Amino acid sequence: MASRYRFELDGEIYNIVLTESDQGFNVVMNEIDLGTYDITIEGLPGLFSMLLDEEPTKAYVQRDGRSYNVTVGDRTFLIQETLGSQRSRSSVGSRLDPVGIISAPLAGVIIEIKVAEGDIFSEGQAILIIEAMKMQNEIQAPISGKITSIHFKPGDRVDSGDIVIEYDEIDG
Amino acid sequence: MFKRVLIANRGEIALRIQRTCRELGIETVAVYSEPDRNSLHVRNADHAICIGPGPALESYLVIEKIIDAAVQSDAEAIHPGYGFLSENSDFADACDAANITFIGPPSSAMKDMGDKVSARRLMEKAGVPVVPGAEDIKIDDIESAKDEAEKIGFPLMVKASAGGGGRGIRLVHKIEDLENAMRQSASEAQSSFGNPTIFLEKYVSPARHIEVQIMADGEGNVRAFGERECSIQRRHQKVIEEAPSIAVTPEIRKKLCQAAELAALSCGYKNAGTVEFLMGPDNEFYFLEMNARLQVEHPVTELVYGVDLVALQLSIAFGGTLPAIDSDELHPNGWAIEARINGENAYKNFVPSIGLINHVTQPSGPGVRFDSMLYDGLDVPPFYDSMLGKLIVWAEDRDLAIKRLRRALNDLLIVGIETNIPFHKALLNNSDFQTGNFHTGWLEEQFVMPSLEENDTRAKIALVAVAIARHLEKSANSNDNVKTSSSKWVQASRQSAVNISTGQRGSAWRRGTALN
Repeated sequence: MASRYRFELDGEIYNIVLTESDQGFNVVMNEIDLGTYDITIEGLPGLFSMLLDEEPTKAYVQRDGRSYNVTVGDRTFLIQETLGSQRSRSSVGSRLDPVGIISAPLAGVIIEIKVAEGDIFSEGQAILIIEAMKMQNEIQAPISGKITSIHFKPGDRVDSGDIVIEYDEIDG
Repeated sequence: MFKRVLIANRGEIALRIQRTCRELGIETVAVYSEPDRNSLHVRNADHAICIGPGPALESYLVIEKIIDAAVQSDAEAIHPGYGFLSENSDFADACDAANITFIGPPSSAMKDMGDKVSARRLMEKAGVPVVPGAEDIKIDDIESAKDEAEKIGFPLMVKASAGGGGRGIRLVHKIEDLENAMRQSASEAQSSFGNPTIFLEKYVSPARHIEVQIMADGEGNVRAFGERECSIQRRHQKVIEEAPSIAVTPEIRKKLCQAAELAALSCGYKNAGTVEFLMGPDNEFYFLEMNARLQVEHPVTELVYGVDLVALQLSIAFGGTLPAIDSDELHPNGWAIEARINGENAYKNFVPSIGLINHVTQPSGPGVRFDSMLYDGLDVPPFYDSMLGKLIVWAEDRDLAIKRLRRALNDLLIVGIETNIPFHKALLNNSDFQTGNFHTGWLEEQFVMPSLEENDTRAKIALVAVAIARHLEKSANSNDNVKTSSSKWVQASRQSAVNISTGQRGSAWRRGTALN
């Protein structure tokens, strides 16, 4: 029986149809039949060893909130599952924050939060500073908005992806 | 030999020192900050003592806490590693006062070498070539400073005597800018180091950074273990190091080693040290500074000279003397290259990247040494520097060493954070690097990091893997249809991992604690 999935990578949509058989998974990507992959895995998150036409490849798959980080060699791809036709809006860095949320793009310690609840800010304005490895990183507003809540305070440690600030979008 | 040694450091260097101690039958005492509780250097030690919160100023840099830990654990000696308290003469004095052996040079030599003006004077007296310059300059006598500057020639550097980490340094191109640069440098030196003393130095460029490893036993015996090539630097930080240097002939090596030995003797040096030189295109070299500690890049010397420098440090600190072998009989064998593996994004101006390490595949095989703090589930704390480990290779010659390092970098897989592995691979493919045509400014001035490959074929592999992962998550309870060669135990853990990973982020590893 075939299962259909839909993913977004770097703004492109990929429709993938998987069909299981005794030989493994047949993969059709954007209407192109890639062949049947023989798969073994070590855990999930974990390392996928894939054989296609006797050619081995490997990838490490882990979940990151709503998306997946997939590492192949020295490159990590951020892939999101998309259900409908909507695309997420991107903000600073590679992380895709939905409208209404500013999350930490990297792990570190919050040095300063430059806004307070109720503040109105505009696109590009510095919102907070996160320090990691003795370097300070400024996080800017992806769009204009009004702060509704702040979940951390200076001195707190944050993980990449932690929601730091929630806001309401303001037009213009 | 010592029975028990405290290692006042963390990360890969603490592990490296532990390994030699264990080989010599010495018990090790680890100290750690709270966020380092789950580090390998804690797990692998014979004793482990917590010394406070994450920030180094409240733990690894607090002399009293380290001394207390040593007293409490009956450690006879302290190895400081590199960084932290390793070149702090007050710490060496505190060890003496507590009757604990400091594994390093005497504090007097540390002070002499820590002050650049006094180090320059000592070297000049000992007949070691120093960069042409002027030490007796004062802010309130600009006219004589200008006279000295004219003698040295432009461009020149204004440097702080107590300097370090690039602070208090100004490059001056013309005489009109001298006074301003002197004032800025002195005030920066005053605020950073509490000492406004400055001096002038000729700007040697292009130049190579060549350093010589020395070992002294305090009985008048000094050995020089050849040079290391450390010209590949970003923001004054070395990123790749080699031994020997492609630019150093046996004749130059002999001169460099003799100069380094003179430098060590001039200040009554004892234990391991590194004498840094600048070498111009004319192969003339000048003393730059002396580092009174074991260096990050010491393994490349160990590999080409077949020596365990930490074992020698321990032996000398215990009162041993150096084996009766002349430095002239020491010759490098083959070639070693070290790549510092840092948690940083090579494609985004090397911004730090830290967090949870989900998976590491460690490289191994012939000629490969990986000194690292990494393991599956390590949560890299944000308080310390970004170096995760050092990948060091040895081969018969430089070309083979480059090939071997490339192979080992391909074998090394670090999942969870970004690293500078793509940078190292790009560097090894650069023709200037391959032919040895570089100097200390080359990396920042000439090397261009290629951007991320577009239409990377690896994206297809990632998409196939992610689709199957998503599929397995959905059918997590009936995964009999996945072929696996894993044991029952792995299958059980996989089963639970599948279940966990369908929930929120955080996956199978729990931050800061062991699995439970």
